[in-house]
Amino acid sequence: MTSLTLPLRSKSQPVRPTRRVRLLRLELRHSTMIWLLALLGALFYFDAFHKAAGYPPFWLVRSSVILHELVPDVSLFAAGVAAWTGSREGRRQTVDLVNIAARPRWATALASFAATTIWTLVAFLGCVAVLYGFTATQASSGGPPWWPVAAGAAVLCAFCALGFAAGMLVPGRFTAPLAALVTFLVLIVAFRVVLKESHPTFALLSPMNSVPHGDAGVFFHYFPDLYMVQIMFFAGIAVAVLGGLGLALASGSRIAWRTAAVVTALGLAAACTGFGLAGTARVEVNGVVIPAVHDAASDRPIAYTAVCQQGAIPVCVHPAFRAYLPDLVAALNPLIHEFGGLPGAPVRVEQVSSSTVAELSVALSSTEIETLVGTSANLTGNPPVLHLALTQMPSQPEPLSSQPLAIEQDAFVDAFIGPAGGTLGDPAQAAIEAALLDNAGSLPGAAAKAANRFAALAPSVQRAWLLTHLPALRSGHIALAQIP
Amino acid sequence: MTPARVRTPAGAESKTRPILPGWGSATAGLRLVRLYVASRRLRVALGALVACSLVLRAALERHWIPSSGPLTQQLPVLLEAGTASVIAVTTHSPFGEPERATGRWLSYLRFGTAGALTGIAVGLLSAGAAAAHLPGGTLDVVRNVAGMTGIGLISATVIGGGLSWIGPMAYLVLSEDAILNSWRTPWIWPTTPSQDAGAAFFAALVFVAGIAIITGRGARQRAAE
Repeated sequence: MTSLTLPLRSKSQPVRPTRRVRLLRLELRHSTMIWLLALLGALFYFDAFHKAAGYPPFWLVRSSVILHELVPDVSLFAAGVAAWTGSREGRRQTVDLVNIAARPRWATALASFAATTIWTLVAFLGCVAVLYGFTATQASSGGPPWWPVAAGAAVLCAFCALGFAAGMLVPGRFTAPLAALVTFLVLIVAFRVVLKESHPTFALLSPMNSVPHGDAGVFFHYFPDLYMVQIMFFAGIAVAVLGGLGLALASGSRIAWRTAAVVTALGLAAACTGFGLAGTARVEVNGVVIPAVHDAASDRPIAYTAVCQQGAIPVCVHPAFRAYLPDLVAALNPLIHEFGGLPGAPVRVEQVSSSTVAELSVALSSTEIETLVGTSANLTGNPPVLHLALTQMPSQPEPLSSQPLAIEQDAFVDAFIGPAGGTLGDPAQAAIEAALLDNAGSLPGAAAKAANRFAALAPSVQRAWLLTHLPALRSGHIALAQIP
Repeated sequence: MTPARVRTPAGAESKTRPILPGWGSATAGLRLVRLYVASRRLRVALGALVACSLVLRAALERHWIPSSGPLTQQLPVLLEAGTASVIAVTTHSPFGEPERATGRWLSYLRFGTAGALTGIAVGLLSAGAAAAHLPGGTLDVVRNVAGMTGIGLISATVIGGGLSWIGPMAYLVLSEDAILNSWRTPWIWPTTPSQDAGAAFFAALVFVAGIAIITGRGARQRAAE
């Protein structure tokens, strides 16, 4: 009888890469996210793409919909589906079966997570490709900004990881809808906080944090500071959550546990660093500055040669606004003729960045959406030159009869007659400005027309209407056309 | 209750179950309802609905909901969609075909559960907004919750109970976009005032359709679930 010597522990067999790829391929084929690709495409078309198409064809302005519209929409479904995928073994009560399988549960869980995340990123990048492809056919200068894309991808990875972890740790039928709900809730509440706070810092980490002004990225480089910190924070969260799952799931293997601990620590370090850096953020007119990652070179304006057209006087704009030049000249010419020969009348009109117009820059804040979109002008120098900021342009030049540039006419008259920058002048200034605008054919705004209509009603009729419609009016449910 | 959870104490002798009372008796009916409630996880669903109500309360107290303007509806609609998703997910059955084949009272139970949960969701959200100004008021809550629940129930019959939350969530995304862009259409009822008869009609229509379909057919059973 012979004795056989066996080691107490068998040698661990390394998993061949082909097996890992096969596992991932299986997960990719069975991912629920595949069935949502068409839905996400439709929502992208109706939401983000529709909104971007309404913006002027400037890269940074159009790319703002990536973080503001596309990422929240995709995050909601990504978190829900990731939670659904993560809770799979728990819902089917096969956790014990998976635990005793040859492959560590952390590895199989990571494959499921990777499949959901890959499909999410495919949907996201496909939408970005459509958006940028569409913009490339219309934009005349600059190139696509990639920082918002990277930040968006990091946000999606983080929400996928959080949803997946929620599904694994609290498996159940309600985990997926609640993960989706909480994701959207967090994004909206953070957006509310950014809007309410006068000097937001940590809330800026939310992807829905600001809307760039209409000429952002045209005169000055956009600051990538906030995007860098967002990537650091969200990628850190994703890595920490996945590492934490490893700590919770790793059983037996000391190497797996140590690896999970190191991954968790790295993720936490990145997330904490991002959070700390966001606390030092400073909101400026050209974007958010974070001193630790800020490149001073991006503060310098972008050099350009203005494009001019001779109307009654020369009107010059940035080459990116070339398409709007004929409309601008046509809109300003009646006013220039009216003012011709008067003391202080401008001899030239030059477009400037909205951030360099003093009156506008005082009110500008990347968190105050209402004041971000506006037009202002001032008259300086001898001979006088009208410096006009164009920030609220239509997506494409429109027929002049539709009055697309009425705001620019207002700004011109404001600068010439009264206080510039859209501030209210005294009643006499306002009256003369209104008369001059009327001469120039500039129609009063739709709101002013509605106000006149309502003011012409008898007080009893006004009161009766308010009694019926006040709740709807307060909640923003009354359109201008519904005002009697 | 799933078969995996049926446990027999170690060493215990198997017993023959006593003969159950007839179908018509109140005890049997109550037991049936209790088992149905347990199988659909209605207690957890009620907890989730209460949580939505508490979040609405917190949002109103912390002024996350602006008092005027188009954004007033953003957060309430989100929570209404959340309650609709929870109600839709309760339609998922862990038993599948055997239950369909033997459950005589299943249609009534589905109808009663969906209707009762919708009523409870409306009540809880209204209670969460009590003594605070909720834009649109209770009528808005009734219309929005009912309409989105209808979407959820229809989703359940099409894609299955487990994933039926996708329907109300997709509608939520459309509604949020419509709210931000001030679109007005009766089909996207959260954007219209509560007095709008057309929007109320469409919401009611979708709710009735959802209830009718889920009562008659039940949630779709998918092999993957």
